[in-house]
Amino acid sequence: MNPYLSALVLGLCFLPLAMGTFLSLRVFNLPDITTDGAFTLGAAGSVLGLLAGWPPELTLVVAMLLGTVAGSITGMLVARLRLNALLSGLLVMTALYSVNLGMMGKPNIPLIGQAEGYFPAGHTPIHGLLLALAPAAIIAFGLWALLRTDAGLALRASGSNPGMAEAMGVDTKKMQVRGLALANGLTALSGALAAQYQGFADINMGMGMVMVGLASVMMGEAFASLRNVQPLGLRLAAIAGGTLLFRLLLAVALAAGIEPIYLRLLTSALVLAFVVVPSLQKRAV
Amino acid sequence: MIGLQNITLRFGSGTPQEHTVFQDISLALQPGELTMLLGPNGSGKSSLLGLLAGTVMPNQGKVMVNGTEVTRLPAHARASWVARVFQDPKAGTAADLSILHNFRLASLRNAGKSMRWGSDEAFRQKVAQQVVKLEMGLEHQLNRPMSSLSGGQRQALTLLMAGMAPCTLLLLDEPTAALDPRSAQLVLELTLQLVKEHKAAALLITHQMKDALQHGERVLVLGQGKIAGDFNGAERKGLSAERLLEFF
Repeated sequence: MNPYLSALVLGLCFLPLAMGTFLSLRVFNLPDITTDGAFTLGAAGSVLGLLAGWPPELTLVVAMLLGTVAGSITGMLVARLRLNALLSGLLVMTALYSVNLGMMGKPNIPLIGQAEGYFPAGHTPIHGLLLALAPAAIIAFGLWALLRTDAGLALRASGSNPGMAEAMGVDTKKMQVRGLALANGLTALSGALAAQYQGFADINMGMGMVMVGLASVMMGEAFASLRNVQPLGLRLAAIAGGTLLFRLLLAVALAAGIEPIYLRLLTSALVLAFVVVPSLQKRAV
Repeated sequence: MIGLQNITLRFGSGTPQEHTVFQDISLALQPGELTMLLGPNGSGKSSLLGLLAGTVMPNQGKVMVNGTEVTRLPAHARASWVARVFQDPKAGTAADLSILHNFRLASLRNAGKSMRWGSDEAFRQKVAQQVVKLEMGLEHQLNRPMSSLSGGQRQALTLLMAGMAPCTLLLLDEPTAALDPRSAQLVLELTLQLVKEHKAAALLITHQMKDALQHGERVLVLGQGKIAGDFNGAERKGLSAERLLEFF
């Protein structure tokens, strides 16, 4: 299969993760690192569901629900016990490693030859792209629509100005729990999609997913801020673009002969570049 | 009637830094009445507003609203009858949301936030009708994020937002302190209109003797953990700046 097409499909699988990162990091200003654990949780849950004979679409929904539970635990640590967000995420992420391994029973569960996932065996590249496009589009549009509702405004105000939100009758603690639940539900969905696309769940597949989410959001925002984009819909579209671009850049790097072991070094360098360049440009103006 | 009954408020209870802000104070506010709240720094003006808003919990005593005790209700649960304006002009609005969306939330201060797109054309018209009063041209820019506006504009909008839903209690913590004279005048006028329109009990913290003597029906002065001065009716009319200065 064409490596660039494959990168695009994987990029679409990671789109919910990017949207989740946007939600926790940008809407709520919370650096949530539950992500790594929630991603694997979604992968494990959906693969186990498939092996039990559930329809693929159902396993995606179940994966999302599992992620929501994990995220709401992080949310409660932050909102109710007032723990630092990084610590809360670290605690849940670490605990999830055991939970995931316990669920899976072994570090790696292959799907190939065992069960048919969301991406049927022997699908054509275009078919794969279309299949991946459907959940990505639903999630991106759904999040945009949700954040425009009255409840969505309450969610956004809770992150932007908690004092004001409280004065407007919004229970900001509840909103934090819901926001992190949703963010990790989206992350788990990405885990499930990635597992079904790659044909296996692995206990370590979530490692570095915080960075993938971050890279996608920051690349998207770098473009949005260059054009000074404000409306929510365009910002989400820019992040979707950033997610795909990030996968394409990695594919280009691999095609250029970079050893796969250096991909994470490259990821860090890319994120650094996308953080530093816009701020340097602002300083120059 | 809105009031405080035998409130005692201490910060840092049980520590060497223990500090009594209020010792057994009581206060009743009347609907439609603007009360100007004065007092030296540290006399507890903001804490008094916090007790009414639900951001500060007393050690003893009761907070009452229309015959119901609300002492332990958190701020968000009191929002259906309390509207607040803050000293920091940026505190009353959400920077990342547009003017329109800020007004939408303000209009739902006393209601649930449901899963519908409430910021529709009809609502936009309603907001434009309010914003046009400011004569800042903002009625044509309702999609602008709050972060792009000046402090004076944001504080004036906060006042208008307070009027988007009914309120029985209006709490204003030095709303004009950070503003230039012209914006300060505008905000003060909007406050007076709001009190009149909603027949709300209003409590306004100020350090401006002139404002305290010119506006409102009642003047309260805090000092030494209690209400040191309370001027109403005829007493209020005969009040002079010199008399007020004695409290500082």
